[in-house]
Amino acid sequence: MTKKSMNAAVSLLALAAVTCGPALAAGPGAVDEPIRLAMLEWTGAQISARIAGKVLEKAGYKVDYVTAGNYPHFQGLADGDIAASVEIWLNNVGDVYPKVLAEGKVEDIGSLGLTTNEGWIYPKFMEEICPALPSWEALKDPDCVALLATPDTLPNGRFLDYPADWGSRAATIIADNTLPLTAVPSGSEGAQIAELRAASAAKTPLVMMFWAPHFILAEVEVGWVEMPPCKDQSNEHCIMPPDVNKVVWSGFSQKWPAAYEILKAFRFSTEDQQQMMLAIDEKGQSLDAVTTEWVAANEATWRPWLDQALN
Amino acid sequence: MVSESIMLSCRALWKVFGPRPGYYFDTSGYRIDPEALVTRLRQEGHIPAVADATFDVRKGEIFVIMGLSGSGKSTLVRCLSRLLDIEHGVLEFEGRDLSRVSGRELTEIRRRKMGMVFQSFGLMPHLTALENVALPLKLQGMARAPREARARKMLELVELASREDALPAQLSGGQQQRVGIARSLAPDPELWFLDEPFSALDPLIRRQMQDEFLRLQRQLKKTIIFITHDIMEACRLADRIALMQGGRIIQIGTPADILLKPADDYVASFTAEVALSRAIRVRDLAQPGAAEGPPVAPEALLETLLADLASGRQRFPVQGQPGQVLEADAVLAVLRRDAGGG
Amino acid sequence: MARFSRSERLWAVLLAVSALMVVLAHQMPVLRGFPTALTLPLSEALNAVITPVFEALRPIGRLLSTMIEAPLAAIRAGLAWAPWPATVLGLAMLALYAGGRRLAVFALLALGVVALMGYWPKAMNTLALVLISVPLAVGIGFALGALGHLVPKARAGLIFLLDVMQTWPAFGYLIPLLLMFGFGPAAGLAASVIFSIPPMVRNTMLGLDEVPPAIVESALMAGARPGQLFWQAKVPVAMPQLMVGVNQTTMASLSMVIIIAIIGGFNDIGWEVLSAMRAAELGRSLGAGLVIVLIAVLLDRITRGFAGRRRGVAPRWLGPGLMAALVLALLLPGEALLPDEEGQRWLRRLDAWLLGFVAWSAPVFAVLRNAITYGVMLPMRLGFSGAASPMVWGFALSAPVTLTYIAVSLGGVVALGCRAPWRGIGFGFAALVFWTGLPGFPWPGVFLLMGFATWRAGGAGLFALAMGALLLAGVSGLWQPMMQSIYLCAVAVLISFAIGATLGVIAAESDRFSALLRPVSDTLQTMPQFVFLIPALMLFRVGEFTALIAIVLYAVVPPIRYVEHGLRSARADLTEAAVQMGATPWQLLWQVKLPLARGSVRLGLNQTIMAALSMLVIAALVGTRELGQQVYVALSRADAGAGLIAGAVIAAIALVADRLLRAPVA
Repeated sequence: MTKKSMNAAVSLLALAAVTCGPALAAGPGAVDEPIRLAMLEWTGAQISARIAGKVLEKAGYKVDYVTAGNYPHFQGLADGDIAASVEIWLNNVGDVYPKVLAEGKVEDIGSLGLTTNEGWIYPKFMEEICPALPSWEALKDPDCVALLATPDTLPNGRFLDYPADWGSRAATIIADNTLPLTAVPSGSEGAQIAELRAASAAKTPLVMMFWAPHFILAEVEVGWVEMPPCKDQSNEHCIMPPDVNKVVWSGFSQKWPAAYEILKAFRFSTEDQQQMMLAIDEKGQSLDAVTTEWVAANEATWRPWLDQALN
Repeated sequence: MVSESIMLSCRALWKVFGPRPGYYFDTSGYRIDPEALVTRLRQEGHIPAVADATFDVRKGEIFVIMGLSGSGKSTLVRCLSRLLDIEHGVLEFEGRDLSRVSGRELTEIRRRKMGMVFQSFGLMPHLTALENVALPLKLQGMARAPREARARKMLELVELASREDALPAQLSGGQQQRVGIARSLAPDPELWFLDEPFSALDPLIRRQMQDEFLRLQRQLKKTIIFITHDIMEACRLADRIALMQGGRIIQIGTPADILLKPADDYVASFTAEVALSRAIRVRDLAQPGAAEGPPVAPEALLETLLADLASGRQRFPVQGQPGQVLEADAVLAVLRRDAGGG
Repeated sequence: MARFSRSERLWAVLLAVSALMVVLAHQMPVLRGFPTALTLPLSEALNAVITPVFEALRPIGRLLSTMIEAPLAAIRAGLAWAPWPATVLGLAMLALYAGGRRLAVFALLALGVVALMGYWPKAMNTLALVLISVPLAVGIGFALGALGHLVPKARAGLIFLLDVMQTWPAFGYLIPLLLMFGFGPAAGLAASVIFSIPPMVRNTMLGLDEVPPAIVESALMAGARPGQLFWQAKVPVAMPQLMVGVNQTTMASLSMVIIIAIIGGFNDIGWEVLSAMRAAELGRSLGAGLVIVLIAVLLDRITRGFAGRRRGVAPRWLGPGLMAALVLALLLPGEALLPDEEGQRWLRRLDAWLLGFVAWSAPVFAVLRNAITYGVMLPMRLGFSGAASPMVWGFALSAPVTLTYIAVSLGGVVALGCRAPWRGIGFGFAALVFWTGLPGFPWPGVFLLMGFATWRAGGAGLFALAMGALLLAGVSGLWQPMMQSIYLCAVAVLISFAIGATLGVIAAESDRFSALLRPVSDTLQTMPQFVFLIPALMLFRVGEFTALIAIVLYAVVPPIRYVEHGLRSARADLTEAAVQMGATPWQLLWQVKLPLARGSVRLGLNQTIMAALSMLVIAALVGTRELGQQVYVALSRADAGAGLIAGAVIAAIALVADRLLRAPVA
């Protein structure tokens, strides 16, 4: 999996910003044909897609939203059935994406700008029963490990890993540090969230692999384990914050040149996304209402993208 | 009433079920004794359902094929109508070899010249009585108005005109079979097959239907092949009876022939239950001679003479047949057999 | 012992060989798991073949998908344009026509609930999918069924194909379909059609085969040509059975809505269920699941209503009524009438309740979970030899413990074997499996036993199928996942059958209980199984136990249905005779009714196994290590070959289990 560090991504973007200055204004292209944006399963991605779509509409484009499974939708992007997907977590793209990227069927147009995090989390109350937390040393403490143990993992403590199909770094890191833990694959994101909710409600101990931003983190108070030093800096042995990028179909820039510039400039802050997730998932507001509100309130943010692309 | 011209003729007809029935009948014809072939077929896992059947059906006669279940009578009638292909033999219908006609010709023959009534009625459950009767005409491609008019006429013939819109499920068994009869008669066939038409009905209804059948036949004068397992029914209806056992026809003759001169013990045991006085007719026992007094009808059953016999009459002239008489002794001999057998 | 029959002697020899292998396996690890040295890169090889083939099929796939998508878009647009009161009215009138007043009231209520929960647009998208996939499946299924009826030689192959289509997990062939049709509803629709064709084919064959011979003969004697015979006699007579096929196909097609949503592109109810599952929101997923249940029940009753009526003329009010609905649709603005977010908010409240319940009940469920894990699952998985450790059972596998186990096993075999050899042999195998645990049973032993059993029960064909599947699993490195799958299904089937059969017995005795149980069974069977995963996860946490619960919830329905049906249809004269002889209710049940219902009970067991196997893939969502998980991993990696192989092994297990159970006990 291609994996760039945050710094590299930022500098690349800076470079892109320099090369695509205002001088390079583009024509709008096929305005009558709707741009099909992927709506992936999770709220964050849906918010990003809606905002990107609404900004594109402001620029005079038609937009269709296509609900799509994360893995299958790469095939759609490669074929042009889906024109763009604006929130792709590069740590979770399966095997299709690298292939179609290498074949030039899709184009990575840079970071969405989210500040991401990935690591091991635990419900906050555990700091009372394992006082050494958030240090990783706590996970060596037999008393603490005993709290985590289950029939399946005895005598080790249970560590809830990513679903098996996402790949497992946690098992490697546990082995690197000879922690008395057994990594158990969770099966799905829903399973992880359900466990976290239940653990916090019933005060049952839990340590699991997770990432941010995620709406559940606004609902359940968690702590992040301070990770042990990496054995080496590779993706296998070390957890680094994942990149979240925007990806378009290879024919996008030709068909909708200005929209291409707008999406390239499209960036979005973690705080904004998290607030909207909270409004939708916890307060039950509609996706459409929340994103419309954001677009209305943040013209200062998106107007320059349009101007730069269209003027 | 029965003419001498032959409508359907079969010679050495064979129908065999089993893994490779064709093997036993090469094109030049089988040459061994049928009895031996039947034995061999059975030993080698085949069922000779019809073995070496030979008979003619004359125009206008009621030819009854009778036998117990498993005797091959239903198979035989299906061979005659070509619902089943025969293994061997000659089957001629109005002089044409029925076993060689193409599918299209066969369909044409069935559409115009054959009708068939089935034991389980075979009515289309999704069609009304009228539509069922009109079905053969519809299949021929007749337009709606004429075929419904014809179907209505047929329903009137079987006295069911009032139920033309009823579905089969709404009709009684007897009524359903009337529809079946009307349907088989709708294209005005020349050869009429009836495969145990009344066996599924109650005894009382059965009797009624038999009478009705005879009434129809007097009116229509079809050539009829009638299948039954009931010897009484056979004797009531038949001009001639073919008796089957184990795939073979063991005797062909008039009811009186079968009853009075059984070919073997099997036929004799079969007919033992029959009250002869109710099955034998005056014409069956008539002999040359002369007599005085009121004549008796040739088709009258012997039992109708009992009162006269009791009064001591010795001879009866036969109506319309001068020179023919019925001797009281002959009648008494039959009655004696009834008493002994009963 | 002279009383041994030949097959008993053979089984006894097999038992001895297996025992020897179990003993040897302690010394020779090569006997324990399928040797890795024997694995081959099968999935890569398969991919090298499949990928080009399906990519070559691409143009056809694209053509087909455009052909499908045009009418789909039209139906979708039509349903989206009609304001929901008009659609509700139209459907209610259809229900009134098909099933009478009660069905119409149900239709009004059900659709009203759908609209109030805020799922109307998504439900209409789902309806559009069903309206496209059902006619396709019915058409193809009818054609195949007619083929099977008219060409008896094609039949054996066709039936095998149908069995495979129904047992092969759809997830396993999504990737090739995606390659062929590209992204969009067409790939999902194709999967749905593949899965829902078999009931139509089976019912078509059954219906056409069972047309009474008198009908066929009477049509022939009336002068019907082959075409006329088929269309004017056989098809109309078989129509009620064909409608049963349409009904079952509709249900199967609805159950595939979620699979279509995995690919996405359609914003339907299935998508909603998946999204809610992803966010672990019980309320939302329950609401969306309820929509599917309601649509399923409604379509079921309507199609059954049509199947039940022989012929009918549309009543006079139907035309004007539908016109009125149309006028209403033209007059009313579409979206303005949709209720706002209130329904959704209400659904979300369920989640708070669930969390409260979890917090309150966690200790109780922890005890339940531990009891079954320690008592049933671990011994079945690790075996006595693995579970007898200080960590699990509190005592170590010392020499005396081992000797005691051996002594008890041998004693049991001899004691039972003296009375009835079968029991002794059965006990012997049970003791062996209990010692190693199912997944740890020596692999040559599995080959040997399966080979022998399939050969005796089903002859060469079944033998080849079973051996092929075992070999395929072993060679492609799926031996452990396969044994895990078998173990998980075995435990689930044991539990489901015990619970389901008990409930079925009670339901057969009590009409009131039966009436109470029926909607529960209906819901368990039509509710997307994903919905049950969320509460199960919260109560029992990630792992095999939750998977077990999810499987049991689904697989418990067939034994309830079949046992109840079997007991209720026990012949009245025989039960009366038994009562007359003075049988107590208990004797009546065990000695008369259950033996009489044996066929039905066995079919129930068969269906329980099928249901459990079909849940494997879904159970993988809560973290298991079996074949279902392999199918998932393959799906996410877009590894068509691996998905097909794992799917094939699951299908083969199902087929072998089915054939073994159907064979007369030998």
